[in-house]
Amino acid sequence: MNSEKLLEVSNVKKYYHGYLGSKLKVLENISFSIPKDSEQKVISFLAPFGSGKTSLMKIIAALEQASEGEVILEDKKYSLPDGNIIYIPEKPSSFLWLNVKSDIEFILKNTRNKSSKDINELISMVGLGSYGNHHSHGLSYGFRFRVSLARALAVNPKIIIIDDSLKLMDHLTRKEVYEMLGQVVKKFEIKFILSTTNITEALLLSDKIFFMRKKPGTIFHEFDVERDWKDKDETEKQEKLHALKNDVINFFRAEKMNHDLSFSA
Amino acid sequence: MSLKPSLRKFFSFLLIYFLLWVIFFEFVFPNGKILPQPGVVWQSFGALWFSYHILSNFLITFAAIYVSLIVAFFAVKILSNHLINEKSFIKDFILSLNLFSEYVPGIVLALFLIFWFPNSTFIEFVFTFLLIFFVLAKEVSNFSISKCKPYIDSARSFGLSESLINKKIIWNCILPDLKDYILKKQIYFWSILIAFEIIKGNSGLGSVFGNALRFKDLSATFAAALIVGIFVFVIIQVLSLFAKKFIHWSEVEL
Repeated sequence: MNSEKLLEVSNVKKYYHGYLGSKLKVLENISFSIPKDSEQKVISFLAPFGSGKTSLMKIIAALEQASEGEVILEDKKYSLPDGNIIYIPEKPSSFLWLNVKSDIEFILKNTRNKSSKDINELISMVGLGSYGNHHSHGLSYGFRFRVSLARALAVNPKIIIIDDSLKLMDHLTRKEVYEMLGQVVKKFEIKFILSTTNITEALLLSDKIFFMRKKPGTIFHEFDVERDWKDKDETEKQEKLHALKNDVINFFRAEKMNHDLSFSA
Repeated sequence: MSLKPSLRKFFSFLLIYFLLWVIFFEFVFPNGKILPQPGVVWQSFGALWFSYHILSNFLITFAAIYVSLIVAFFAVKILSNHLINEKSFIKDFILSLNLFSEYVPGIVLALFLIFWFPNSTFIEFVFTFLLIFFVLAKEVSNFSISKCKPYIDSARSFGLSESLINKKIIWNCILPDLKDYILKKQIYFWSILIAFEIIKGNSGLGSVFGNALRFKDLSATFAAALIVGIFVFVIIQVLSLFAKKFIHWSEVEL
């Protein structure tokens, strides 16, 4: 039933017009939904580069229009961004001319939605405790992502989209961010949509993964990730992760795309 | 106080040129036909002060450039909403002027202004304002908005209005490039305005050069060029420090 769905994406197609009336298909028949009261809070799209992930993320966030199909958020067509679906792009988007606190305040001042959490609380939740008065200029990718996340959490959206934003971070920073994201997901009643080319990232952070193939981008498999292994000790966790990675790779091998994905932590 | 390596190199070369000038033109070729004798140039400073009124003329040129720069900067800021909008008439107008300026140099406008208002000092301000405004507006119009895409996408998803995004986000995203461009264009602004004043001939530093050339006073021309060079250098350094203080961020290409 529609009323139980938080987000429904149905038959989304995206194509661009080329020369002499040709059409470049980017997305083909993308359909999925996120139930409102599901335990699954993080949904990932795992796909190689060029499979239309960013186009899909932008269509969900209403930053781009689909050529066909629609995005429904809580029974209403979502065609104009209104702060209910926040998009965190791949490149850092925290404002370089503002400090961390002012960045969040600027957004809060100019949007309708507000979180019940205080700004300082949000800043420490994302691990920026003592950086409230630091300007984004001079902060690393990891820190700038944290600012974008705190800003997103501040407006209490229904969904936060993280569009391959962890890709530019180094190995250690990424591990710290996974940890922080895990904590944030537990504390908020917000659903997260992640797009990534990184298998480890998708497995560690998600409850459900949609596998996509390219040319045109289509979903070819849905993969539910169990939760229990994530809280186990490091050895057991690594063993399970390794096994799951192999499962995922096999799916992509069947599609001849196993070389297009990233495996680093 | 330690100097930046680039400035240290610059001053080292300046010192070498100065010494070469003193050695060659004071002792080897002292006839003053190629470059003036250093001793004569030294005496010309007095003439520049008392006869050529270099201070008041310098202040006119200085004020014309920096008052116009401030006014033009804020005018561009106010119009930035239109200048970055692909469908704006103002943007099209600025870009069409740019096309026009590729074939008709700006100095033609200067000739007309001087013809219409030969004795007005105010016209210098108008000319400089038009010149700087056009240069800055063209830079903003040509700015590649894709550099600000992450900010824009993120801000739109929060439901921020387009005018707020233009005013508060894209403008701040443009500022570092605009700052660098303004600093780079300083010599251009000074040169064009001095050329304007030489033609007009009755005020500003250009009139000092014009008079010195008319009297075939090579040492005064050289001394005036030295003074202008030193002051413009100092002004650019001060402006650069000032700009860095207010526009302290810069977008690193990712």
